[in-house]
Amino acid sequence: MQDNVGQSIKRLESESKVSGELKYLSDLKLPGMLHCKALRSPYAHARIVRIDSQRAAKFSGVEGVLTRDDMVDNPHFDSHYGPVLKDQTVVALDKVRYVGDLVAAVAATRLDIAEEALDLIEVEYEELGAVFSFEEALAENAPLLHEQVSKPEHGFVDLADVNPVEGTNICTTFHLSKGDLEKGFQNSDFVFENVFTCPSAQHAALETLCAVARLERNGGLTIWSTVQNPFVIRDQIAELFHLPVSKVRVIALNIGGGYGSKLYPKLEPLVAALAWKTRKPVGLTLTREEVFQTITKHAAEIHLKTGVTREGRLLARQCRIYLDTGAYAEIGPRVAKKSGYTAAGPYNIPNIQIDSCLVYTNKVPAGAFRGFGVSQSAWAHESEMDLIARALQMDPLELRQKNLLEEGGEFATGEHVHSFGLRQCVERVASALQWGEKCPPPPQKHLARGKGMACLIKATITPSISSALVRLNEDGSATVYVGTADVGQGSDTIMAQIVSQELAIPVTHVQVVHSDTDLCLYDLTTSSSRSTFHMGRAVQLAAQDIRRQLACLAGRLWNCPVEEVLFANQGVRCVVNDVVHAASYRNLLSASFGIKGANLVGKGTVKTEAVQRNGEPLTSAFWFAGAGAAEVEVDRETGSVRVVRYASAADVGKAINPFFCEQQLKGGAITGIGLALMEQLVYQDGLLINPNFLDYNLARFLDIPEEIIPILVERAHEEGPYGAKGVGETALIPVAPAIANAIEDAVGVRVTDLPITPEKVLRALQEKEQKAQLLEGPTPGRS
Amino acid sequence: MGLNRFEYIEASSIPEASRFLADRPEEARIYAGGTSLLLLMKQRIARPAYLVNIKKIPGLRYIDKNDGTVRIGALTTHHDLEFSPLIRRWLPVISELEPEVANIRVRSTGTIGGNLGFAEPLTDLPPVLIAMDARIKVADESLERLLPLEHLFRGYYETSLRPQELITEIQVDLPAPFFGIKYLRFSMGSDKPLVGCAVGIRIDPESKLCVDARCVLGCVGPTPLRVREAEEALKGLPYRVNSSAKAARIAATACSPLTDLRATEEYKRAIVEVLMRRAVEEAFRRASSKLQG
Repeated sequence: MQDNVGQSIKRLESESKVSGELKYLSDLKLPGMLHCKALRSPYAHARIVRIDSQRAAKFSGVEGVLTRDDMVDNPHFDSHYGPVLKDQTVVALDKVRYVGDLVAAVAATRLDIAEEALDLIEVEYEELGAVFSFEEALAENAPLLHEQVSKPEHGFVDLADVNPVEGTNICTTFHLSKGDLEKGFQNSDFVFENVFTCPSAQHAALETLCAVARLERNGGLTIWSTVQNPFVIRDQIAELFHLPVSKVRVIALNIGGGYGSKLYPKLEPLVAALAWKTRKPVGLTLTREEVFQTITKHAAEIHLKTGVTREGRLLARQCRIYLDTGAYAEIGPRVAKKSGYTAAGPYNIPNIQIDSCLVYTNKVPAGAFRGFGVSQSAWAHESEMDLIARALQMDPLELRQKNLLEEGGEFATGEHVHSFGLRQCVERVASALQWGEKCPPPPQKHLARGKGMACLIKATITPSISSALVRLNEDGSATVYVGTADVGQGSDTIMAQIVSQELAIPVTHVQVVHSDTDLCLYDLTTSSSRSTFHMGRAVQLAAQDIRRQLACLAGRLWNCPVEEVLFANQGVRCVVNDVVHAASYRNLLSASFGIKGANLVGKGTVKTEAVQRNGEPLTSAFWFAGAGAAEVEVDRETGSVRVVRYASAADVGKAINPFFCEQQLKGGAITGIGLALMEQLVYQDGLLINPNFLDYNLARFLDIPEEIIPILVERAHEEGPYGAKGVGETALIPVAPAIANAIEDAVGVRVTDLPITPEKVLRALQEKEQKAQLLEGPTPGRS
Repeated sequence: MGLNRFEYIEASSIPEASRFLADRPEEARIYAGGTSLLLLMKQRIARPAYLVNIKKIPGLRYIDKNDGTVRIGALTTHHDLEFSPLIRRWLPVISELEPEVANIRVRSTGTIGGNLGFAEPLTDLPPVLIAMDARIKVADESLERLLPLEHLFRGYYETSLRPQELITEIQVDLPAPFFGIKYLRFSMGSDKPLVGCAVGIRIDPESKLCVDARCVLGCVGPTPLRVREAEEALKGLPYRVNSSAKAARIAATACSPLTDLRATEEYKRAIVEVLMRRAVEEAFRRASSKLQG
């Protein structure tokens, strides 16, 4: 069938997006809905001495102002929340911790009234010492962001061991070691030590953050939100408002891009509190500038020390990682942990030590970002691989081939990796760019070309759970209920394709109901590139549950063995004693139940565990393997870098929709080019000075390479649907180091701090030239 | 933050707009596309009480050529320039640069009159137009005058126009024979250029010596900067690597870029030098290729 698994069908919602029919959350207008605007802190760290909202509350059109006065001793809701650590408050209580922190919020009949009323809220601050860098935050006697932090009662299983270090700004630490590091270094012929840094960045999803809350007559709350994990929001709101989860309904419509920015509570506690206070629906849509003040990517500083033999075998690697989580933990602890696991890279290294340190600073909170900390650590280990190769005068491809983690190889955690097609990824990106052949020199003398590559390993969140329902309707069409949010990745279409495959129904007869906590079964999250593997499998199991029920009905009807019932063309058939029995689902259902209107419901659940059957830990239900290779052109006189060609390979297990997979690889490459060459959030004394797309540079169409070559490697995973794994994050991770490595190949200079701006490249070229001149200078006593 | 509250006025003629502006010199701003103005208003740097939309004034959106002069109506958009066969034929340097100006949305809305009148320093057209000795026609309620574009710019977002004056037309004489012009811009991931550099060279067909030169920089000072000393360094000489390098060094010293979050002052000077050198070479080449053709 045309719609089957493995076919590149177009997204089910594409036409409604192009025509503008599809509604996004900011289009939602509820009767009587109030508009909300938040008052934000002008200080990076300050005590709130006094806050008076009386004038604002009396302003015509204002229906409610939320300040800390509403939080204190309120029996209806708590003040603190947070997915891992309860260090966030609905609005600021005693102090503010970054420029942009929520101080108060106004709900009014019109947005401009809400905005004007903000000016009427009187706040008196007493400025406190602030910390903006790792050094400042970790210094002795540094001002503390959080004096005391509590944990949620029912937190995430994988983060149960997360604990802030009391009396410091250390939010959490992560340690992992394997073998004997010191011995490894002693046995090495060479030891390399380098420091790599990457700045904080923006997700830049086209749709900004938006949330609407409505208090229901039964005391419950309905929340619409641009959220990738509605069930987490439901749980957080239920805990905050002391409600059973059945009384909290969270709905995510189609989302205009997430990339990690739409996970975990952002605006929901605020609009819910205002809806509670005003008894009216309250909506809040952030401006772009406010999104910049709400969530970012973790800035990182990574110290690597690597011991290698003369032949290029990696014997030992030490990784010390500092991650800047900003003013609140958000999901930072999981970023530290997940990226910690893979910080030594996808290599077979006998001796490893990894220490990650997640640090609070007085800056915008950092959270999940496509790649989840791994793009930071891969920037370090993949840059260092090329530095090592260069020092050993070895081809970087060969160095990687010598050390790659292979199928069945032992990972840093001691577990063995399976369904891991890394070697194919590495070798196929190399051959796509004719690795080994010199780039033809460009005609202009000031231009130079070079090639570089990088590879990666990444984990998906484990343990986790996803459940799905499939309903076979009386006419033989199907409705699928999934908690997965369609953020543009095409999850609805993937789920429909799976049902189509299992039940032999055209996708046009499959309706996907998504991300509504009242309608769908629990799903942990749409992130970590996990939906196809987990939810896809749950949907497959649910559809197979229906197949079993259909086979039973057919078996009973025709008196045939259930295992001989075949499925084709929206119906069942079976050959009994050379007699062909066939019926459409519609006819089978009405014949079996004797009435039109009988439905079948199938359920599927996928649950992964932290320990494998053989007792080994299971850090990741499946591993991402991928590689990227770049050909760049560097202008020696300006330092500017143009990516001419880029090849991206990912082991997807099985491409259920190859076109979607290729889009992920291309999109990841384009985003990665922006992060590699231009993106960075710039702070001045704690103030973010480029919080808009005019001053914050993203890759533009002109920056996209002439050729992006997507390569799908399919090493099936036995637990994924049809062997499929995840693909959303793989492609972004290797881009920056592949480009840095290509630049060094082209012009012989190395940049270790992202982004690789033309100015940094030019400065490095000038320094190189000065050094060369010094060396070439007259040597005393030898003229 | 949203825009401040303002009153929106639609003018139907130049005199009407001029009268309104004359009455409220401090509070009113001209809206002629708004692509730069609205950005400043969003940041509350500009808080006009009145926006006077002149885009509905008829007869100001045209590209004509007569008597050896190309005339461009003030309300002509960047997009119009980009795709005008007339511009492509007679002022190809503009067709060449327009696809890189800002982005397609800005090019579809932004007008050339607005671009010049707003005096935004980070923009592409002014250096090129100045290098072609462009003039602007300026009108108020009753009078019209012509002034060299070079004399329009006074400072950051500041022009020499009186509050009641509006730009109505841009005039560019057809390039003289054996005149070559090249504009180079440097940008990184941004709609706005970091440095712009326009060089025009006219040579003597016999001797191939440079008889006239224009070296104009954009984005590296409060206004577009015509570097006369660099022009002098090129005059009377044929194309030589040395003389173009000298002109480029002069330009890099003469400009006054500021360190900002995109680049340092030193880097911008370095880019000015590179662009100037490359633009001089290409302008010479173009001037001499006209010799052959």
